[in-house]
Amino acid sequence: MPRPIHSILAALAVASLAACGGDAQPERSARGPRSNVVAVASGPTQLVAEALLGADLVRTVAPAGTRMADWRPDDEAIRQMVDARRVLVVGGEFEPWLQRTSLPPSRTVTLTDLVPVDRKIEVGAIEHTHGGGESHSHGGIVPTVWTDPVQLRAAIEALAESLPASLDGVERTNVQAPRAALLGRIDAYEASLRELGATASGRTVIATDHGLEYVARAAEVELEVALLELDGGGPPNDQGVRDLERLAKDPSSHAGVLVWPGAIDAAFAERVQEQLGLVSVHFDLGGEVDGPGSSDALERLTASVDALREAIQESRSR
Amino acid sequence: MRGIAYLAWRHASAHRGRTLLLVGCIALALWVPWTAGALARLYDADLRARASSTPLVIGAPGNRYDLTLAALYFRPSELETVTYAEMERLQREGRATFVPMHLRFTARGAPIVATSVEYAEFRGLVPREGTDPLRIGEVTLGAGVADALGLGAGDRLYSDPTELYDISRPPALKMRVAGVYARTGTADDDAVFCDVRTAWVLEGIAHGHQSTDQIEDDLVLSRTDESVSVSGALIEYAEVTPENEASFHYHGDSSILPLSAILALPESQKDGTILKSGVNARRTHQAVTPSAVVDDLLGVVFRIKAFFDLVGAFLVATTAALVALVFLLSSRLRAPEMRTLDRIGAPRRAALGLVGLEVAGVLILATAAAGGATALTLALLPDLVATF
Repeated sequence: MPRPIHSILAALAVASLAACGGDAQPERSARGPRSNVVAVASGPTQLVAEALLGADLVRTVAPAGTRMADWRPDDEAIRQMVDARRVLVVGGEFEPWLQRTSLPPSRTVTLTDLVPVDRKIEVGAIEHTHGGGESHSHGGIVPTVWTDPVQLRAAIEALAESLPASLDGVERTNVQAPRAALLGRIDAYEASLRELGATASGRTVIATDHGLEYVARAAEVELEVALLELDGGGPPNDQGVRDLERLAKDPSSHAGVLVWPGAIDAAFAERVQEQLGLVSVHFDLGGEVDGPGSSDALERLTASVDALREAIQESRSR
Repeated sequence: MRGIAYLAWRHASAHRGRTLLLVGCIALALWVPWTAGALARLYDADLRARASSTPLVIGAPGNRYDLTLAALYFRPSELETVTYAEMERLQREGRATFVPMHLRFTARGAPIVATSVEYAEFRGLVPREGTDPLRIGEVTLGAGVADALGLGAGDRLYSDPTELYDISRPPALKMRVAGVYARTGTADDDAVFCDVRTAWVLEGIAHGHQSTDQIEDDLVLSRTDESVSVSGALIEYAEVTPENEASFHYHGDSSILPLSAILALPESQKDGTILKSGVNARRTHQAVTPSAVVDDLLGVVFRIKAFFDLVGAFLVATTAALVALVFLLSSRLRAPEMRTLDRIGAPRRAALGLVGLEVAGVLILATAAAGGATALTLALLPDLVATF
């Protein structure tokens, strides 16, 4: 353990030799002002930021439709985020690129940090070790917190308080009307979720991914996940297939649909329909940014809830 | 040149060796305290400037001098670490901007300062070439390091292995030079900057390798639905490339990712005071004001300097006495010369003037030489404050 005397002796040695030099401290503001914008890369952050601040004050750095799980921001995108007054991210495992990108921590606002801890859903994951290293896993909090109306409201309230202070020309009072409008849209989304719950009426919804956990909880639908892991284009996860077969065994217990939060694997979906009688339904969680003229994350999310409700209705009527 | 001045000049020239010796002795006696004083003033000003521009440093409890000098000058130390989660917790209090610092590694002998872009913004570091480090595995060099190693944007730099013979430790990381900062004349010139996440790769907390379902079977010790155990022989990537970047991930609890220190830049003095007292009251960490720590340090240093000043004064006094003795003895030897002056009708004060002019000439030359040597020393001495 180093002792203070070491430091003092080092200082004495240097001072007694009187060997020193150096120029004055540089100016702190050598880089100039940052852009008066909030940078976003995903659908939910784009939704909240644009709804509260307007599109002019929001810089969307990811191309429309980009899956955050696969995205590698190029240098220009990173520079644009670093240059912004705030970078709004979802956090958790939703944006793996965050672990590999140099964003300014003091200006990065994480959506999952703004929501109540007791509302988060945690799932397990495959645990593994490397040689003699500690065993570990890559599971954790389900990151799709924005799909939970309660958490989305909490995030909006927190951002409506904090974001205006970071931007020039924006007062808290400016965001009150847009905030109220957005909360109204969330009420409509919540109503759709209630209808979904009523339609499922106690039947289990089977999904290929945990992304639907908050939707299911908010809709009071029982969710079972068969982790197929077909995103990479390879064969499905064996355990996921076994889970799917087990869950689909009793047609009276499930809603007759297999929900795909990611892209549907057409060949696998066809086999599932033929062999297990499950109709595949794509569910857009709104994770990707929208392009000009296209629906925003909440519209897509609400539309997905309605589409799922209709698919369940159709399946049950057969 | 005429009269007494000419005679004095001729005498000094005729005894060139003695004159040069006198000039050298006096110059040396003056150079030591002058240089020491000037360097000490520069040292003091520089140390205080860097310290006073850094409002607060937060770290693990322990030696506050080590913590301060590590945070300001990247001086190697065995500081206990603080967690990144602690920084995030402080950040949520909203009283300051917090800058993470991880200082355990070196690259070609230069300290690797693993931090965030806020550090460069705070210290006014502007890339003269390339960019800040934008992603893991990238570094931006201080101007001194870049010049010394002859590296620029696009080149590669290896980190220094910490445990050469311990194969369980991560190998040296081949890092891409993203840019070079313009020279600032501070310790930042002699450092290598990277994102704090790169330090966690160097620590072995984060690493990249093939996906567990792509690893060859002979490297898999066991595989179940819930667990995959991989042999230690699996080679982790020693360079982050666009192709393998996505495979880099953290191990264990991300809330315990280590930092050496946290710079805190409060919004106001009130925020700084509340922040400091809050951190110190909890006793799990310490918050120090670098200017106060440096004042303490310099207080000790400059008490010792007073002693060296006294030694310098004795040196000057001793030299002056010896020079006086030399001139006294010399004037005795020159008695016939003075008598000749008297006989040819020179005024009585001519002899005194002759010796006086010679003494003055020697003193002027010695002072000029000492001044020149001091200036040269200040110009040529390496910047030891930056490597403090």
